[in-house]
Amino acid sequence: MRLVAQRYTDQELFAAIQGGGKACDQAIQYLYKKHLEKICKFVTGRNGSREEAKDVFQDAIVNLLVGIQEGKFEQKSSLGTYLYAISKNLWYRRFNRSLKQDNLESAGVSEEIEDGTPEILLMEDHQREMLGDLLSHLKPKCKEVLTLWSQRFSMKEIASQLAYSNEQVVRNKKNHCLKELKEMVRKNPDVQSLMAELVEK
Amino acid sequence: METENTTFLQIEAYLGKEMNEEERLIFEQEMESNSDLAHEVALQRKTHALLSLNNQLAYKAKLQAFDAELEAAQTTVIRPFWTQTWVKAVAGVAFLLVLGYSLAYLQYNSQSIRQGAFSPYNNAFSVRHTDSELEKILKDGIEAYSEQRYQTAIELLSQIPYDPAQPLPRLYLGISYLAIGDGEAALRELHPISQTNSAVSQAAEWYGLLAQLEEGPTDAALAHLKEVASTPDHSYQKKAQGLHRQLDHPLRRWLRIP
Repeated sequence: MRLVAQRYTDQELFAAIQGGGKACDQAIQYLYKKHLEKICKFVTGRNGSREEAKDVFQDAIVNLLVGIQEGKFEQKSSLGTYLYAISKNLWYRRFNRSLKQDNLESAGVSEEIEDGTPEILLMEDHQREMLGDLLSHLKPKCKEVLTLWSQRFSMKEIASQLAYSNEQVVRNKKNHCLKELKEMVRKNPDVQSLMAELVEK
Repeated sequence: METENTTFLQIEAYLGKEMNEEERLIFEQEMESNSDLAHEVALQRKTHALLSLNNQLAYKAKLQAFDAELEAAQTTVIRPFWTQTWVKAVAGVAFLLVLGYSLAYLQYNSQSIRQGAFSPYNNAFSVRHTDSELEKILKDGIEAYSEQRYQTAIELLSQIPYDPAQPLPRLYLGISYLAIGDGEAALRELHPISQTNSAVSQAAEWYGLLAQLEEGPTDAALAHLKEVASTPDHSYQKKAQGLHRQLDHPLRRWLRIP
């Protein structure tokens, strides 16, 4: 089993995540494998579990990903330091640990990092279900095309992955499916308010 | 319809930051004076936000799957001596290989079965010599279709207005879409013909059915296939029976392979 053989610099990681697609998947796997044990050590050293550590670390990576792809991330420290700080903040908040139990400086983080909260963390279970339910009304191919497109896979990558003859077909398909989804959103006021609520936060 | 599509594409360019400074300013001024446009932009922005949320969930799921993969690679299972015989190891590997091969074969096959059922409908249409521009486009479109240059056929035949009394050009347009893998567009063109009493309505229904399957073998598509397969006077009954037999394989159903 090949589990991330390539090595990256921070700049390469940043570019890969920004570009999306397959390269982004590989970059986040690299980050996950490289830094997971450090987060686990931090959490288990404070009576937390490995599962808690993994949960917050996965959210920290999603946070980083959204920040970079939406142009909201400003790189003031290394990506590793950023992920470490975000994971710690999330763990303290989510598992109701007291910040006083620990000294941030002694844990090796010399700067406070402001973390934006990814929208998924703000969603309740029933809201996730609502979202899943809406998307389940799309035809399977439409869902695949839109998912890959929104993960920034190029038209060429999508054409090759879904066996379309060329990029123009994918472009037409994406527009058609997006229109369908827009009509579903138009007919669903609950989804509209959820989106407005989360986007404003 | 055309205007709606243009507005949709303009909003896409605006949200995707593909407009230059001048275009963006004009668009934003238009939004300020046109509340309908502003509403459409807000709705499209929410649709994008919905996909972004779905993405975040998808990335978290990808990380969880990757974590499971890492765990599996790192876990060393210590088994009692009697379970560690080479025979069991070889049998295990062989079993996995056979299972993997079977799954890969079934998955590959579902797609190839659907694609294998497609063969272009023979051209039965001739265009007399004419100086009319439209007829010239039609002639070139039919020629491209006959030579299986489907992308060109689409570009040309989509310019010909639909005439229910002469549905062949539209049938060829639908089949061309199907040939390049755009089931959705194929269905859009073929469905109206399949609802008529014309000589090619059954052909349109058959290719429309393949287009439905191309979009994913949903229960509705399989039910439609079964219906054609059990209609004795349908010209495509035999083809439908063969395809239904292959797609409705019990193992494929049990494993939920599309």
